[in-house]
Amino acid sequence: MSGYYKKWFWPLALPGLILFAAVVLVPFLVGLFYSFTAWRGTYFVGGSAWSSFVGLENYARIFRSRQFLHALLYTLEFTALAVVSIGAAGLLLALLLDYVGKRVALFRTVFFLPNLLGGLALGFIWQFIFQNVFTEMFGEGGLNIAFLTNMTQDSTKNLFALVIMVTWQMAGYMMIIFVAGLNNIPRDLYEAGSLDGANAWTKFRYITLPMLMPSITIVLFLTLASCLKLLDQNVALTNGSFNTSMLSLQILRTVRYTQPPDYGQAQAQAVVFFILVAIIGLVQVYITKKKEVDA
Amino acid sequence: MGMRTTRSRWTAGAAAFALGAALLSGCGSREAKVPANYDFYIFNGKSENAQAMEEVVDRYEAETGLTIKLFSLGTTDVAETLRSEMNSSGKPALFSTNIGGVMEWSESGAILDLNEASNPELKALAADVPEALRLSADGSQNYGIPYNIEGYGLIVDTRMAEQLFDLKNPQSFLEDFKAATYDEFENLVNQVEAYIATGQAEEVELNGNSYGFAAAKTELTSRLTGVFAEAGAEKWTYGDHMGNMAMNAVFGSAVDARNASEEQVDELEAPLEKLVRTLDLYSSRAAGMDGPLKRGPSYINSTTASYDVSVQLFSSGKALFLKQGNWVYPNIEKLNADILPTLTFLPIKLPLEQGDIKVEGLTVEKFNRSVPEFVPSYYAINTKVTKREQELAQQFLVWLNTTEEGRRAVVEDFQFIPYNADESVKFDNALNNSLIEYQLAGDTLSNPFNGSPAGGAYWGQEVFGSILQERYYNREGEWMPDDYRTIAEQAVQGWKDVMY
Repeated sequence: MSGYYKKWFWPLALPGLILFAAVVLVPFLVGLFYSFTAWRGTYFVGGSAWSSFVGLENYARIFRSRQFLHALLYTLEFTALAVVSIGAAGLLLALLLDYVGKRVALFRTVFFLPNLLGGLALGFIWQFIFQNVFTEMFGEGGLNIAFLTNMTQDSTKNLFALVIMVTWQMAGYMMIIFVAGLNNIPRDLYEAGSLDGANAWTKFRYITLPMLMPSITIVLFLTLASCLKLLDQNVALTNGSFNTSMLSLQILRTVRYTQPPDYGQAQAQAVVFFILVAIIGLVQVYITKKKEVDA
Repeated sequence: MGMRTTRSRWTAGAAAFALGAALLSGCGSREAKVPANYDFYIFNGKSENAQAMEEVVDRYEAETGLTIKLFSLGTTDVAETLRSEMNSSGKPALFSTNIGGVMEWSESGAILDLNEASNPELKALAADVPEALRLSADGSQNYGIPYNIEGYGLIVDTRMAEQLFDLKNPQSFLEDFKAATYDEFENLVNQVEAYIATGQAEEVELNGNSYGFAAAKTELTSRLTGVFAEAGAEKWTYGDHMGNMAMNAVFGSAVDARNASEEQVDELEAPLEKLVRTLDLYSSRAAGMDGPLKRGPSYINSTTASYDVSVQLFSSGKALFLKQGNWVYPNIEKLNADILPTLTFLPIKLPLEQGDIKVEGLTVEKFNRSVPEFVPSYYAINTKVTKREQELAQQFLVWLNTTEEGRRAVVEDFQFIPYNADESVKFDNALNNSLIEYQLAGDTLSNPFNGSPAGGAYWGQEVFGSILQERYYNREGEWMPDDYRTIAEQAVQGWKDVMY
């Protein structure tokens, strides 16, 4: 068997590697290079790449940019809230499904459905809901909860509006992962727990949770990455009004808000963004991996 | 061990390959290549004439035997698409751009200064473009041939005015409105608001002449719910287009604004303050679906205060004025074609004093009887294609703008107001005709907002528009003179923050 792999490794891996190099690696390295130059999208200032080399200036300017720093903070705040909310909602749905019995397939489908909607479509639907349905429902004369009215017209409220929307969208997907994880927990562990007098909470805390760690690793990783990189929903809901730009939108806007378009700077922002996502993702995987146990 | 070295060798190879590709794509100064499938390529960045342009190009191909590649696109992403086309091996020979794009293309050297065009006819045509409409970086170049003229102002259905004031013939009323002072205009707005609410209002004076309101509301005038159809959800409608009014007091053109000094930006504060007073008037007299639309959360809600809603309010007779441009015509046509023949433009007035105006030769009276008219896009020649493609593109421009056939196409097929229109140019479109009247009378202002930081996309919308939308339009309650000043100061500061 190992001889087979030795012989066929390159022929089998090469197509994938070439593709990866062409659409990920090369553009990434080109981008990295551009982030040190005054690149304007179609030309280098001064004529050639070397004459437009600006060293770390693009990076220095990012960290002086209030807009970038605000977008960074906003993205981190959103991600922290959304990861907890999506994970909790996904787990709750999965646990509920575990108890439902009969119509499991129906509920699973229904909970998963929002995931099939594209981010933009979803954003526009929820924009209507937040602007009109919520505002009507929670306004004076309704349930009178001011915080839930006109949620897209305030930076803080919009943070929660985004969390509500993204949770609704992604919880179903995470639920599927948790359901698979739950199914893999041997039932005899619970029986043994019951015999020892464990109640529902103790069983959840000392059996379900540790046995579910592999699923939690995946769920955390997926939600962290997609929340940090969120764009469509952000564009559709507020398009950055009321200081609600997240990092992806901020990077896109950098070239729109500069003339000639400062692609070098936008590229530097993208590199910082990449490093941030990579560090957070790797640290998370490292920590949660360590907590995984074998049955 | 062996595996390990292979892997690192592979990684090193990939990195070297990638870097090589980066350098190649970056600084390879490739010679322009002769296109294989066509003679030259037109990148048309305007969706309005996409269909008509195709027919015109077809006719031109039949006439000349050339094969032309045509690509039309007119969304906000047009800049990105154009950039990728300019980076590709099949570059357009003729492309559209404006004052925003010209900074980019002149710096990269891709745009031909028509003062140095190889085609003598094009050179002459470009030299004839009026100074105020020219496309240049600092005023000395002449980079483009205008697509058309667009303009905006207060659109009014003259029948509504007729029935409000019981006029036999609206002509003298319209003339008096144009000549009226800001105070007269403000009083008119307040009286119309009172008339809508109670059916009674005092006589108004315009240009010294009195106009009394009709004793009873008609079917048409009883539809009114407010004076202005506003689109609070869309920052460009006030950030760009109203911001442009204040900018016209300081800058004579987009090129002037683009090259503004810090003193000039400071001088913008006074007219901006006056403008905000006007915006206060507009936004407190706004029409809604079933009654006045008040400032507050619903004033900036995209389901109650979008551009489409504002056009609908006006088309259904709920507002007397719609501050918009001639581009709104097809939208009104879809909603209520009956009012099309009686539409006309009236000027937007500001409470300026002569001291606020820094543009030479411009008086308060002239300012208040003029409407902004400007060139939204230009045709430009790309220097990065072969000489032959450049030559052919130049010939096409000459044909389009000087031959009878080409000029007819601009007016009849594109439905564009030519930048060099004379009395003979007439449209079915009453708004276009109204703009031509202002153009011929010389009562026009310019488009300095296109020269503001990032051509409106930044200053107009994200600075000035955002301050208004996120801190004032979204709040109920009155604005104080202090608010006018604060908004103006912050908007000026927002410009200076990004000056370089």
